[in-house]
This record gives sequence, C-alpha cells and structure tokens, in this order.
Amino acid sequence: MPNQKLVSSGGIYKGKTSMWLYIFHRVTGVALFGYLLLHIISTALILLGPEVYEGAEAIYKNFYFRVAEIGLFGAVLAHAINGLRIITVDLWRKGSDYQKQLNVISLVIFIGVFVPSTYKMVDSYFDLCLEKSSPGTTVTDCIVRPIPDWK
Amino acid sequence: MKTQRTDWGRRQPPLAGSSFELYAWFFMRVSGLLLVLLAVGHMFIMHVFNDTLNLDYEFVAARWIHLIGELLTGCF
Repeated sequence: MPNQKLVSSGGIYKGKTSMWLYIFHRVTGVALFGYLLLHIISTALILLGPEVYEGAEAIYKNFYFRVAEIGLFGAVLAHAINGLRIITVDLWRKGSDYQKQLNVISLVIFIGVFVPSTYKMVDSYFDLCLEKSSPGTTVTDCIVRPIPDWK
Repeated sequence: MKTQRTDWGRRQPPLAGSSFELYAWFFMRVSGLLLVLLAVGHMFIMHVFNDTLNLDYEFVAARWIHLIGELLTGCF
C-alpha cells in the first residue's frame, strides 16, 4: 500500500471503551451540529438591532439555560479532547498500542478542565444575578423565574 | 490483516480506495486540530472568562471593533 507511511501502523479498535467512545463522538458531533444551527440563527438576530437581539438573549439568561450551557461546554470539551485522542491513535505510529492509557489521560484532562469551569459558571451566575436584579431578589428567585428582570 | 466481526467500530484508514478518500480522512484529523483551538477557545472566552449574563449588543459590537482594529493594525 503506497500510502501506508501516512498513518499509524499498529492494531485497530477492538470494541470496549474505544468503540463506545467512537459512538460517543458521533452522538456529540450531531448534537453540536444541531446546536450550531440554533446558535447561528440567534446570533444573526443582532443584525435586526439591539432590542431584538437582547430580547432573544434574555431567554437564554435564565437558570435552566445555564444548566444547558454547562452541558454544551462539557459536550464541546469532551468532543475536542476525544478528537485529539482519535488523532493520536490514528496518526501516531504507536498510538494504537497505548489506547487504554490514552483513554485514561483523556478522561483526566476532561475532568480537570470541566470541574473548575463548571464551578466558575455556577458561581458567577448567582453573583451576577443578585447584582443585576432588583433589590430583594433571592437565590431561589434566580433559579425558578423563566425570564430575568434585566436584559 | 484479518478483519473480525467485532471490529466494526474500528477506524482503519481507507488505504485501498482512491487517494481522495485517504486525503479526506487525513483532512478530518488535521482540521480537527484547528477546530479545537477555535471552538474550545471561543467557549472559554464567552462562557468561562466572561459570563453570558453580560452578553449584549455593546459587548458583541466591541468584539467586532476590536477584531477589525487588530486586522487594520496588522495590515499597516
């Protein structure tokens, strides 16, 4: 095979974790593509002026969307780190000999980045919510109301 | 190389087909490196270093003006 030198020469995926990660990569890929379409539409609303854009953005500023935002961040991060793992397995000559180690390293990097980021996103939500809302707003109000009283 | 039934999830490069297949396969991996920087960087800037609660028309306008300013500074 003339092109053999371009790619990893070792073994191939044989089920178990690597295969579940293969499915995970497809699922998060399709989900992120779906979100990307929504994101382009809602971002393009800025062309209609500040009122329309900020009116649409206000919907995203309730707590339920903050939970979804953390999920989105996790999906992007996991897809990215898993993508780097796939590149390593496929293009590094010895990559496929170290699949187990690469799986563990990927998971450790994911947790190491995701946990502190999640903490920051939750913490900063309540800080800003209490700061921007009208006086007397409680943490419970920040969680339950569908649309915040600021834009 | 013997292919077994349990190997359906494998990612063997398409070496046997046309070289277009192989370069498409290769492109998916190389463009991924670029996407990691762009997409994950964007997520960090917008969701972790800033907070989307502060996102408004002014914020987006300031980002565009900054970008255009940087590009013009780079040109001249």
